[in-house]
Amino acid sequence: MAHVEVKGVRKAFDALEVIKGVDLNVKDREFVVFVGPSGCGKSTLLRMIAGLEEITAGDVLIDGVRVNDVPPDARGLAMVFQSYALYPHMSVADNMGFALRLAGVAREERHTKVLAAARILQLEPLLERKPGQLSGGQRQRVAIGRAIVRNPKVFLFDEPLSNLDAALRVQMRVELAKLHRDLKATMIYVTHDQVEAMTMADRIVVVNQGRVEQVGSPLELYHRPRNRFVAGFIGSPTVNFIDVKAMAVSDQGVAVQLPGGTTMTIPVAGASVVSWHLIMRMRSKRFQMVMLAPN
Amino acid sequence: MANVAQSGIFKRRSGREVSTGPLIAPAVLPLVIWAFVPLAVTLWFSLLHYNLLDPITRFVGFANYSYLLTDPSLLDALWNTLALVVGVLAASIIFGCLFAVLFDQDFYGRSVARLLIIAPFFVMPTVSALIWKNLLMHPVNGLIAYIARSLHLGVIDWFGSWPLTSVGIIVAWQWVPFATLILLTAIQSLDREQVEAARMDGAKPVSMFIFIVLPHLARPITIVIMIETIFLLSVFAEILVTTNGGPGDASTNLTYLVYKTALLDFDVGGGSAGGIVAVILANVVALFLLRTVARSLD
Amino acid sequence: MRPRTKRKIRMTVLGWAAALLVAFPIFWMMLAAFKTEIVAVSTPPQLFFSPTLENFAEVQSRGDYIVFAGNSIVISVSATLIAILLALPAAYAMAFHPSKRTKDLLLWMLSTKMMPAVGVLIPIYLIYKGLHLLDTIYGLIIIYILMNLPIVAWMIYSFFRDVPKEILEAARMDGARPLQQVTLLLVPLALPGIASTALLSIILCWNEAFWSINLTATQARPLTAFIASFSSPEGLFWAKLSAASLLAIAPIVIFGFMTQRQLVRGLTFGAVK
Repeated sequence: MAHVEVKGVRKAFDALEVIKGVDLNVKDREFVVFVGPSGCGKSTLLRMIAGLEEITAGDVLIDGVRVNDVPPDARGLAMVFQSYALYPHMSVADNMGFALRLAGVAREERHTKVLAAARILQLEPLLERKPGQLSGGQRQRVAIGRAIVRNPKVFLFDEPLSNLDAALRVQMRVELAKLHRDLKATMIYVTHDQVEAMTMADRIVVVNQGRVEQVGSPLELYHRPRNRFVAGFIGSPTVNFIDVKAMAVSDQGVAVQLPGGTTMTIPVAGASVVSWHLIMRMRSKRFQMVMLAPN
Repeated sequence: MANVAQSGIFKRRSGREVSTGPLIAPAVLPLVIWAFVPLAVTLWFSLLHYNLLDPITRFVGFANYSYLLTDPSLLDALWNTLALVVGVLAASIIFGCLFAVLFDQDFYGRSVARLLIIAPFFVMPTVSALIWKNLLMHPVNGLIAYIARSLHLGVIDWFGSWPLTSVGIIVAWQWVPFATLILLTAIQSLDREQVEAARMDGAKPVSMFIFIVLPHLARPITIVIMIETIFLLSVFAEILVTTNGGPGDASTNLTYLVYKTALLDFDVGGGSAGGIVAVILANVVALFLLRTVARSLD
Repeated sequence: MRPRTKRKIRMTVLGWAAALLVAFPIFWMMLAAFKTEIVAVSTPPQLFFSPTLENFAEVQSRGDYIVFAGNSIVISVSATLIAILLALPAAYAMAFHPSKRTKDLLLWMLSTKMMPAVGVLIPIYLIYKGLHLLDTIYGLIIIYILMNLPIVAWMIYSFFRDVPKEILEAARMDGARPLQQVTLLLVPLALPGIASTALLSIILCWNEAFWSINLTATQARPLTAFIASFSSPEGLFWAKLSAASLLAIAPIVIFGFMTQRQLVRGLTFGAVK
């Protein structure tokens, strides 16, 4: 069992609050993606779960155990960094076996485990090379291999594909998804690319300015965005917004006034929406009217 | 920019920060003593009549200073110091820039030639001084004298007629390579695309230098000026080995004056006062230098 | 000939002319070192002659030259090693546990280097006299440690900061304690920088010509002071002096060549990279 809970977590750097109260529940074996624009705090959130950032307030629990004060390597996690962070002066094999070496694992056992992980990622021919001699894609696989060797409860990925070219990125997405199925592990993945999120995630957490805007499966977010931000962020190409003013509610739906004066009635179940501003949304392929709460 | 210190990587298992005091102390404490104690003693001595040849030592307040400030030797020394510093600085910057631009160009054997032009900076000052004094500038046996005689020009008694200039030449010979090295490194950080854009705009070499290279070099040149000034204020060995400050006071700078007063005339009080003057002078320059370095630390 | 090649040739001429002109005095001294005394002072000065090694032989056979060279070596290397040992923990603390005052501390350390030696010559001289440190190796070593500590600490600090933080974080995630991070990752990765810092310090100690002249007489005299003693014409043997000087400067000039790049960082206090 490896589920992660985040309860009321806040993070402040001196006076600046960057994470403003986040609650999350990552279920065992789920592939959860944190997505959001640059600077929204998704990486900070990941690093707090990892133990690389102090938690200002709130709790992080792994398998029901509060880990706020537990050092990163004791939390049963493994992290793949954006820049891979491989040890330049060690061979691939030593890179992957480093954690085991620190834990005092005997060389034989280390070698076996490293070999097993290398097999999964087709890294066997590269084991004696140094990171400087590898291509970007190969380095990335070594970084993943390093995480696999530790047999963690939860894998953390911090924008691992951003430094790869487009073709490689698509290929790696497929491989990561396959890895998730094969290892049957819980994975938390951070990216700014909503396409990655939509194609890889079981559930997506949309983060904006330190807050969670919405959590849900990809299709949920696509069809039923909770607010304007999520609607605008998810889906490609981006959605077109039209600001309308709600006039009246009736059995047929909500009567709205479009900019320019025309009115139309939208067949949506409206409660007391008379004084709200509604946003009508159109996807370029289909015309979809969605009622959104006013922001 | 994420702060390493605030991330969790360097914390003890208990979660508390590693205390930095005992780590920094071994380096900082000696420096604190070094910076304050001797200087305080110098300050104290400067207020005394204290001569190693005179059995009586007594407090005289600012007498040493008032004597010093009216002593023509001090004025000469200050003037010489200024002349030396400014002269060498000018040579350093002018030749430093020229050589830096030159060595930025690609030519055959550039890396070896570069070593040659930088070499003088690494030569011991005493050796430099002697090379110039004996092998080159010597009026009888020196190479320059030989060349002058062959061309039927008069032979110059370098250290007799132009003592300060001669010392300046020796010092400049050592510091022009320093400036060249620094400025060459700085030029090589110039964005090549900017140069190419300028070339597309029609910039010829001279305009390129004036409008693109020089502005880029403005800050490194300032750094070179300030750092060289700090070191040039304390030129010592070259003077000791060649002219001993003479003839008279012609090539005595402030450093040499203090040395002479304290260690040769045994006047501790007077020498200390001179030392304080030197410290004040250096502090003024240091202030500017530190501010520039501070900006680059961010 | 293509204009680019013509230009390159022109630059070659200019560049080498400048280089040879500037380095000429060193060459001239090198030549003198291989001449006999008579040839060395002959007029006209001879460019071509039959070289001899007698000067070097004599210099090396002089017991005192060996002593002076030994002094230079011992003083430079000891001062450098101790300075690095003192600076390493401080650099680590400042690079990875910076506080608001770290920057001020660094600047203050650099400022101690800017104090003119003359300002403290007298107290140091008298204190050393009282402590019997005059004309001892230890006396000079102490001063050199204090003189170079700011630059050494500053350079190691900047090389530590060059190590990408994510590598150390990865090590943390792998379970490395701070000390292990330092020994297994930081030092190996910063080693080239630390090496060039050491070379720079050795260069500065070896060439230092104020304290070495004023604080030593016969026992602890290093090469700088030894050569300075030849400033008066009596007993002047130019060829031998040239040989001695050549031996004295050769290692340092080579070190200088090796550390050119890092030198810029150290000597400009990081303001030029």
